[in-house]
Amino acid sequence: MTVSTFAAHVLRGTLAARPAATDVQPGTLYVATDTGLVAQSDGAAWTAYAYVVPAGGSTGQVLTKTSGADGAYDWET
Amino acid sequence: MTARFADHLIRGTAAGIPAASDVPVGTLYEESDTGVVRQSDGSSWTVYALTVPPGGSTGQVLAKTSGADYDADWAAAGGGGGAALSDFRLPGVGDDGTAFGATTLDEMEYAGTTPLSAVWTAIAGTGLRAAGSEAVVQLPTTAGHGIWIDASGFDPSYEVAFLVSGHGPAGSNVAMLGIQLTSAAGVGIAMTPYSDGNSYLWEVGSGTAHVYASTGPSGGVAYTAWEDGRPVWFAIRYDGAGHYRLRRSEDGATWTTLIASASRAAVAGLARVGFFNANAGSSEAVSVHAVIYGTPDLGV
Repeated sequence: MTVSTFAAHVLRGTLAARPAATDVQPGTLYVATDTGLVAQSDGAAWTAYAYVVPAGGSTGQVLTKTSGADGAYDWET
Repeated sequence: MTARFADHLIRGTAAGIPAASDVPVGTLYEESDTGVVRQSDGSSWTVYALTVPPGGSTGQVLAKTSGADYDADWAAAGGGGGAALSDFRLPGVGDDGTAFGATTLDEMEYAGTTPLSAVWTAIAGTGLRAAGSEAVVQLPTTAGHGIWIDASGFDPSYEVAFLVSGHGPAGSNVAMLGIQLTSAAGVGIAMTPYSDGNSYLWEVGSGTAHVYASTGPSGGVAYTAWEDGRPVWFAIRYDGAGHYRLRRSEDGATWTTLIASASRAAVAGLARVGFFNANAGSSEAVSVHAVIYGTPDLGV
């Protein structure tokens, strides 16, 4: 059995920098800081686990839905 | 050090966060009062994510409070904290300017010979729009009388915009629709239509020089019959430094400055934003399509 630390199961970075789901331990969470998508690996693929507030934005902008899809939002004036 | 899985996921107030060195490496701490989730690297905490913050009230939106990542909180819609629509009171709109009862702006009404025909609907806390048929008001025949919003509580740091069009009779001296931002005594800045047959100007003051607020269907100032003019936007905005700026646009995108810098001092006791008749003896119907405030994004 592969041994890994807890910290290796809770990763974060941009969506583009997210590693392959096969390269992390099953159950690993990855927060895409630029989109707010929290995905979980099952060892083969990433699936949406939760959504958080994305980074970025400027004063006065509001979180706005960009489509009816879950997780489709960004900071807009 | 051996730790249970549950020891890596803890929660409490921002003030109650333990030292990063006192928790296992990788531990996540959710601040229940801010929504921020922090992660320990064994020596310090760094932001891991921001969940949707607690609190807020109906109609509020999540708005950035600075340009820093995750710096956001619940705020009133339409400019992140602007005045609520209900803060605008319309104590009286009559053809003689006499107050006839307190209402809120979203209950805008008119007691003249022709009532507002539209149902006014709030636009997400930023203004009003006419639903169904356009809102038509019949301005009175006495110069200086009209309808207006009681602006005594108006925060001039916010913009007020009107989408209007004239509907006037044949002739060149028509569509005497005006917008004014004045004291109750009528002193202030105004955008009013006036035709001397040749020139049309915008000026600070009331009752002197004017311009057509809404041009005729073919772009000119004259109407050939009772007909609708082209819709036009007017916007009034305080620059925060002692002056008002007035602009107009016929497409809502390209703005023409009418008054670049009108002294705020000219408006002694700001009281009214609305429409009035600048020409004694004339009588015109005016179409009022929308009233918006608190929307500096218009870029005027």
